[in-house]
Amino acid sequence: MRYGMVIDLKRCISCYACQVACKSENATPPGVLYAWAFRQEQGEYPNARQVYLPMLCNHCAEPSCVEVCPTGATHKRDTDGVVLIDPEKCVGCRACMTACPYHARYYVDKIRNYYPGQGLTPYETAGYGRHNAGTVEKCNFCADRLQKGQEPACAANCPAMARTFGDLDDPDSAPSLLIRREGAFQLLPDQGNDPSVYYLPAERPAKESR
Amino acid sequence: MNRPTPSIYSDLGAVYRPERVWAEGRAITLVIAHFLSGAGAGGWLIGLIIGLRLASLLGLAAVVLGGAIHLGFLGHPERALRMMAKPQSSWISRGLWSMLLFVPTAALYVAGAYGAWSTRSAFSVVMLVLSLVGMAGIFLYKGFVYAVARAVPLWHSPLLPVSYISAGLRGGAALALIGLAFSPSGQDRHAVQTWWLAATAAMVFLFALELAMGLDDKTVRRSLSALAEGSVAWAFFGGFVLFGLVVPVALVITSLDASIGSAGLLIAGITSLGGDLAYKYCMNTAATYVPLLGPRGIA
Repeated sequence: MRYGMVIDLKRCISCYACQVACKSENATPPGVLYAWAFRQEQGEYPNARQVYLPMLCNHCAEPSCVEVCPTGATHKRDTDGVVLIDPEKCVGCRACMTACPYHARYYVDKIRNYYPGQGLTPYETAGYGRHNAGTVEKCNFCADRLQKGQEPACAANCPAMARTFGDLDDPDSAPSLLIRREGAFQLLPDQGNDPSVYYLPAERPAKESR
Repeated sequence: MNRPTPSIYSDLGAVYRPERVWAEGRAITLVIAHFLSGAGAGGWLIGLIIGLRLASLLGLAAVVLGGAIHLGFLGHPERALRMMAKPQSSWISRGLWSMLLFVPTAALYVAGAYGAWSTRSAFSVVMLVLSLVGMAGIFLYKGFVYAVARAVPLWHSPLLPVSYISAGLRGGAALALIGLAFSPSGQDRHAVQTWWLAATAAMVFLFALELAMGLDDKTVRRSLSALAEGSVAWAFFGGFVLFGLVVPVALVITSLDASIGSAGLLIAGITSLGGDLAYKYCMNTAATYVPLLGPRGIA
């Protein structure tokens, strides 16, 4: 099994619900974004357009972060291809961050709170236990949710249903069909990581009825 | 200060995202550590070749100091030994193995050289060979640690490891210049000066070649722009070119014919080392990731 995701850039409405859902699910401290969005204006008037690219860990089949990790903290799970970090093994050398072309990783130097001088909120107190200062963190495809048979929070909470999650090894799974039929592409394929997150182009003929 | 640095958020929209984790803030300790360990390995080798014990001793001290400073960069220094776990794939792991092999064996060899036992004993010879193996690993690992980062074209060059070896040799020769300044006048100054000039020429040539090979890549050109006129230009021109090349080259070349005295050697060595540190800093700070969008991302 190889979990993966297809993000339809035509359906995406740039609402940041994925980013907020991820923050809510994972209680990430300020400055740490497991899911984030690259937003850029391209072209010039009258042909200007805004490119919005939702990003997360690509859970690559050939992850360069795993290769460079000196402790084995970053590893790919055999059962489903999810790339994980063992916080007890991570020394905070940040080699994985320089190796990742998708900027999916964050170094948590210390646990910060959202309301300086006011201490941790009850939500932060409950959620920050899973974060370890001095280590690197990233998206884990909501591993806890996967264990319960749920899809990642970013996919579950996308109001435009732009994210399709499933098993890429299953040729009949929803993401596999989208990749095959709609011409989904990977980011930076020449990096050789074979990412498990695919994108459907924003500009393509309207024909789907999902 | 409770808020994250603004750069974290501004980087999210940057086409050419700067590499920061090994360049900014506490990462300066990593730059210093890599510089010291490279120069230390070079000092060990050159000291042995020209028979200047003080250079070897300085080299050993630089490696030990570099290793200690390296710990300051880690988020969990108490877990540092866990970095030995993946020598089959990680150059950081190989580097740690090399340092742990080098330091005790080199120290034991030095103890013999300073009279604790004969350097011709079988024990000393074994220590010497093991220290040289460790030294080779230290020379090699840093360049590869950077060169494996495919997402950072300035680093991802087959020449970078060779370039870092030449930088280590130049640093070692600079330590030898400093050692020479504090050694009896009978030492072979010409050999040290020749080593330093040769290593400097090799380093400059490889650096220029590496940049020239990367000119086709827009991301490398972006890094070059940072070196030439961006935020790193002061360190590149002031630190590396002027302080690290012009001043020591002038001093060493002058001293080939006429003696410039110990003070001149000392200044040449220190400025050379300062330039090498600036070079490492520039290489880390000017690094940029391939863009997610655009020429090598989606159009």
